[in-house]
Amino acid sequence: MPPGGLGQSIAPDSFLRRVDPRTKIALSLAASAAVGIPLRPLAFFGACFVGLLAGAGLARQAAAQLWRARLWFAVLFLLDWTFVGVDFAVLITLRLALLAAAFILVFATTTPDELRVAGERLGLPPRLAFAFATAFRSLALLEREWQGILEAQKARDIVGMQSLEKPHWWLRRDDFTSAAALVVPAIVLAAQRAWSISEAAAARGFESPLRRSYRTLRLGALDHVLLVATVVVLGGSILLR
Amino acid sequence: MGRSYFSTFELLLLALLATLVVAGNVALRLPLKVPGHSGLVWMALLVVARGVVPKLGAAATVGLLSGLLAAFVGVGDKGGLDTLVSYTAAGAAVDLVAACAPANVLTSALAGLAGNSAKLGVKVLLELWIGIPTGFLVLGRTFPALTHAVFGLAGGYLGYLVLEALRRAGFFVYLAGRR
Repeated sequence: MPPGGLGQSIAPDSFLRRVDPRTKIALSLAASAAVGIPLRPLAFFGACFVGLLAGAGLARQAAAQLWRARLWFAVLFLLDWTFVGVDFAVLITLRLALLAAAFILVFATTTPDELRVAGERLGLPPRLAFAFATAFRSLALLEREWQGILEAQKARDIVGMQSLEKPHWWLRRDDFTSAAALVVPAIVLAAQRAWSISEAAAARGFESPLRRSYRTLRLGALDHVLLVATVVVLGGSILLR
Repeated sequence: MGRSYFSTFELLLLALLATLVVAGNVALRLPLKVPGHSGLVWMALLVVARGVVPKLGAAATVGLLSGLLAAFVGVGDKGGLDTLVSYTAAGAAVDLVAACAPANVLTSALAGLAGNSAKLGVKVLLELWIGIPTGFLVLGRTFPALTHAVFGLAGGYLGYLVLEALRRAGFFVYLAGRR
């Protein structure tokens, strides 16, 4: 990932972009709850879930998510197969895959601003929701700033900076000095930025008691269909567990 | 809007520290080939968050916000739920330990240990939940548990060093004028 390249990988054309974030959270939680069901119904549910991911244009994100855990999947599958049996190995692998992919429905199709509004509707304090949205917007910037600090410390030949580059197996004294030399300026920069943003927010009436959100959420027909599916999945998970 | 527990500045500072946690986990990978080594900078930032905003819930807030951010950018190999819950648990554990005793080098190190261990604990609980046999977990998680504890302790100690450096630099005087 290039410096400052941190950001969300969103699927802009997915039909789930039109769905209320609260519905997607409920659906993802229901999918996570389904990991407790036995192999056959789980395989059926897994196939439906894959269909939903493919239909929503999220297959690439799901594949990338599962690929990151490939070593973990492979080792666990082999262990389960060797010591318990192939059915059990398939069951555990399916459960892990479902758990790893369930929240892609939310995080690959919802912008932080949409999640902020949904959070407020679900009772999250508006300040906390605002703080989250600010944090997300600052991600690439702070990553670049941190890279900048790293480059500056290298240029000044700060003692121990080489310990950040050479692979080794254990903590050395240089690791502490290198890490402290990075963390202290990063925190000072973060505090200065936090102060600027809080001043700007106050100047725009963020603390006003009359403040109202300009964006509202409303459940549509698609939301109701997906909420019914959520209830079915949850009910099935409880009955089949 | 009534007076809230955290001021807007404090919440924004915690949010930006959460951003540093996520950016640090991606951009500042120490080349240590040991599980749990990311806890060095991560736990340091959580301990620092609890130090610069000395209120119960400060580190948990950083944990929650960093968990949400990490889930959004796809950090973590076991999905959004695992990421969100493990980041939040790490923050909550640091908060709990920091609330039990006054801040000093030992409390900070123990807070780091608790945070990094809580992160691993959540992963183990999720693995138990999906039915992975306990024997496999004991086999596979004993060494990581040890290294998580060591890097947690080290991270907490680093957090203490950073707080001391910030104190010497007059950072807390700067903060006092902005709450």
